[in-house]
Amino acid sequence: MTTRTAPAPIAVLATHELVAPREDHMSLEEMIFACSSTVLKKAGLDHSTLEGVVMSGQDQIDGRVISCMPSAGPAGGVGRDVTMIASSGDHALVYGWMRLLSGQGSNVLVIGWSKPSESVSLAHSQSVSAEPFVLRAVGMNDTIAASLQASRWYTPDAPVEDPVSWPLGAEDLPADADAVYAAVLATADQVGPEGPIAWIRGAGWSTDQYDMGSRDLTENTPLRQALAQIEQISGVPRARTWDVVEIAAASEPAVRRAAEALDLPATARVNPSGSLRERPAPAHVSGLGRMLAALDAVGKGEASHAAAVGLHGFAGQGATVMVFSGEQER
Amino acid sequence: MTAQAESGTDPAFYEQTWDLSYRHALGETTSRFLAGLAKGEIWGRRDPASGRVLVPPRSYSDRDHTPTTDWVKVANEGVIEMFTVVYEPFRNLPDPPYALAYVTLDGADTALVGYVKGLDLSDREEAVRRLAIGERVVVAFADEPTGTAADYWFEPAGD
Repeated sequence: MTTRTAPAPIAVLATHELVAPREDHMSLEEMIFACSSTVLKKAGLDHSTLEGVVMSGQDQIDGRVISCMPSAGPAGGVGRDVTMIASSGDHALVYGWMRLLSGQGSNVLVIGWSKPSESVSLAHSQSVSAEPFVLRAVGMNDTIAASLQASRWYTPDAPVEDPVSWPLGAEDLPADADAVYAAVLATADQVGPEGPIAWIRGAGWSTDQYDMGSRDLTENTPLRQALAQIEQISGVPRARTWDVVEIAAASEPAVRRAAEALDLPATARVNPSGSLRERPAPAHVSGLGRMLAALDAVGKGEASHAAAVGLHGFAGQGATVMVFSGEQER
Repeated sequence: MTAQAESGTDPAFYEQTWDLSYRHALGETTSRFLAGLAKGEIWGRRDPASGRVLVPPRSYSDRDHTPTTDWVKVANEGVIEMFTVVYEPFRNLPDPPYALAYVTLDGADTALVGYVKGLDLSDREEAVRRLAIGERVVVAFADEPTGTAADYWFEPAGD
C-alpha cells in the first residue's frame, strides 16, 4: 500500500441522538423521523436541500426486513438517493464520508438505529447471527463470544464476582438501549461562517476471519489493520495527537485491550463519555454512537483531535476507526 | 403469525411471531464433516498456502482466499484455547450453568467450539481451573447421532 494524498476535508455539520433504555412511546419509524428532522435542522438543512441518506439498521433485532424501504420516508430519503449499509453503524459514517469524497453530492445524512426492546428475546434474535452449521448447533451470542475472548486475558484464579458468563460480570458488559444516531456531513464549500462541529481527518476499517477458533483473539488484528490504513491512505499520524478516544466493544476488557493497542499518549482520555454501562447503546450502532461522542468532544472544544473505534461482530471480528479534528487540515 | 393489540392511554404494543423455516444446503465439505461425527471422527481440510489444517473444515481458506485441498483426520483430543461458563439463561440454549470451549484438536491448526460436559459446575473455582487454557480434553460423541454439530462435545481428559 502506498501513501497517497490526504483526502479532501469533509465537515460534520451536526449530530443528534435519541437514546432511551426502552422507548415504549415511539415507534422505530417515529424515532427515526424525530432524529433525522432534528439533525437536519441543526445543520441548517431540510428535506428540500438534503441530497442523500446513508442508513444502518439491524433488521433481525428490530423485526423489520430491508428496513431501508419503510424507513426511507422518516429518514428524509424519499426522492433522494438512499443506501442502507447491512453492517455495523460505524460503516455508515464511513460510507457517508466516502460518498462526499467521491463527488457524489455536497451533503449527506448518516443515520443508524436499533430498537432491541422490540425483540421479545434479544439473545434469541442475536443467535441468527451465528452461521447455521456448527455455531448455531452449539449456540452463540454477543455475551458468550465476549466471554470466550475475555478468558484469554484472565487466569483461573482471577477474582470474578457473580459472572454472567465467566469471566465477565454485568459491570463488564454493555448496557442495551433503543437508539437512533445521526450526523450530517458536507463538503467544505457548504460550511457556514459558524463552522462545523468537526472535520473528518481519516478513516480505516478491516475485518478478521469469522470463525473465532481461527483467530488470535488477543491480537486486535482488525484494529491494527484499520490504524495502518488510516496512516497510509489518509496520512493521519497514529494516535500521537489524539486527546480523546471513544471505543465501542463487546466488553470492558476488550475496550482496555483496544486502548492498549492504540498506543495512546498518557494524556489521552478513553471513553470520557462513559463506560459501556454508563453510555447504553445497542450493539449494532454502538460504534456510530461512540463516533458521535468523539465528535461532541471536538465540537465542545474538549479535544482538538479525537478518534472513535467501533469493534463489531462476535468478539470484535471487525474494527472501524475514524479520526476527527477541530481544524481543517490536509 | 399471532397478533395481539392493546390500547388505551398507556403505550400500546403489537406482538408478532413469524414462523419462518429454512432448508440450508450444507455443501460437500460440511456434509462430510457431519457424516464423520456420526462415525466418531473429526475431519479437517488443509489450506495449501499455509499448510494449516482447518477444523471445522471449509472448502476454502478465508485467510488466504484459496481453495483447501486434502482431507485430514485429526485426533479426538486436544487443548482448550478459550472457554466460558455461562450462568445467565438464554432462550434456546441449555439451562445454566453450562460450559463452552474452543479446543485445538491434535493435528489441527484452528480451534473447534463445543460444550464441555462431565464437570461439576457448582464448584466454580474448581470448574474454571479444570477448564483453564491449555488443559486437555477429549471428544465425546452422541450414541444416536442427529447429523448435526450437536453430535459431539468435550470432556476433561483423564475422567
